[in-house]
Amino acid sequence: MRQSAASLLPTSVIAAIAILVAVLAVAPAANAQCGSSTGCLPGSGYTLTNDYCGVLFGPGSCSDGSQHTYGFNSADYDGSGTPTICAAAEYPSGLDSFGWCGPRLARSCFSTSCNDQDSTLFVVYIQFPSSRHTGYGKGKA
Amino acid sequence: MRSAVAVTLGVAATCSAVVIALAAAGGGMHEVSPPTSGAAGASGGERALQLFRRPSTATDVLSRDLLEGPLLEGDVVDGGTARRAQVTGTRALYVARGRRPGTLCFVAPGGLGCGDTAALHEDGLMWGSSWREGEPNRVEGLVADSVTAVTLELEDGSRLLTVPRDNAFSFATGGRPRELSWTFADGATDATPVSLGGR
Repeated sequence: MRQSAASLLPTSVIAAIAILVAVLAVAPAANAQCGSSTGCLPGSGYTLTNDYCGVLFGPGSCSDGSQHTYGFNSADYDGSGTPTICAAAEYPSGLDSFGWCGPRLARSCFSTSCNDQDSTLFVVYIQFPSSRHTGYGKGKA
Repeated sequence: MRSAVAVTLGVAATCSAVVIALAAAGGGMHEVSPPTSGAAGASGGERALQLFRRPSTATDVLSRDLLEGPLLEGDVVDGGTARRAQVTGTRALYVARGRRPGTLCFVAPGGLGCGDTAALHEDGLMWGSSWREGEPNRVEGLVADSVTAVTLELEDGSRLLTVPRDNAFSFATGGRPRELSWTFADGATDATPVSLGGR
């Protein structure tokens, strides 16, 4: 006579498994504090995505000015020509922290693994060093 | 952007004369070599690069960190076309076809840059610069097959020279970059200003 697996286990064990399954079901998929922990998946920890800029400008830079603990920044240019664009992050003091400049799509992370780093406030921006263009930026914090 | 074409004459061999004549007639245009063999996944402009004409190997597979991180979010590159450029003395540098038609991307741990393939072939070089606290400033990029040397000039006037490998180059320096210049096989040169951003 065959018996189900559940019938072979003590009630307390079944209850513990049920609780564990319930906890995992409601837990967030990403660890929101990867800055000081180990074992975070690459690129994990972000809880905010900020789409900034969109239309304007140059030569100059564009940001919504909001400060977050950004760990990722992206600048996207879809127009004609080959201008240089930069996705950059700077401290509120104005000092650069991280960034990448390139011709059409530029993305950069604060950490090599691209995990979120909840340690320092940044402002993210994109920049066209030369002429007037329209660009799109995205930051993750 | 082309600054000068200075080819030293005095070579009587027929092949050299042809090269000089083509350089003069092309007004600075440098045609890259046509593709000689097909590499799976690569097509069109990519196959004009030597890097994409060799078969893919296990070392060309994009690393887990890159695949699972935000740099490639939105399916911006065709990972199946990726090649790892064997640039000496630097971090991993992958090159892949961008999902946006006519683009090529190069990706390194912590950064990605994409540009137009046609512009790479016309100018001979595509560059990106990056910076991060605690690390050297970097200027990296791709070159056409016909580019034989790349020089980075810093704001203090010093120069760094490298020979591209696998159509790629990489500089890491504590200084601030000012200008990139590159040399074609026929002796012609080109240059472009580079920066690290900054508002």
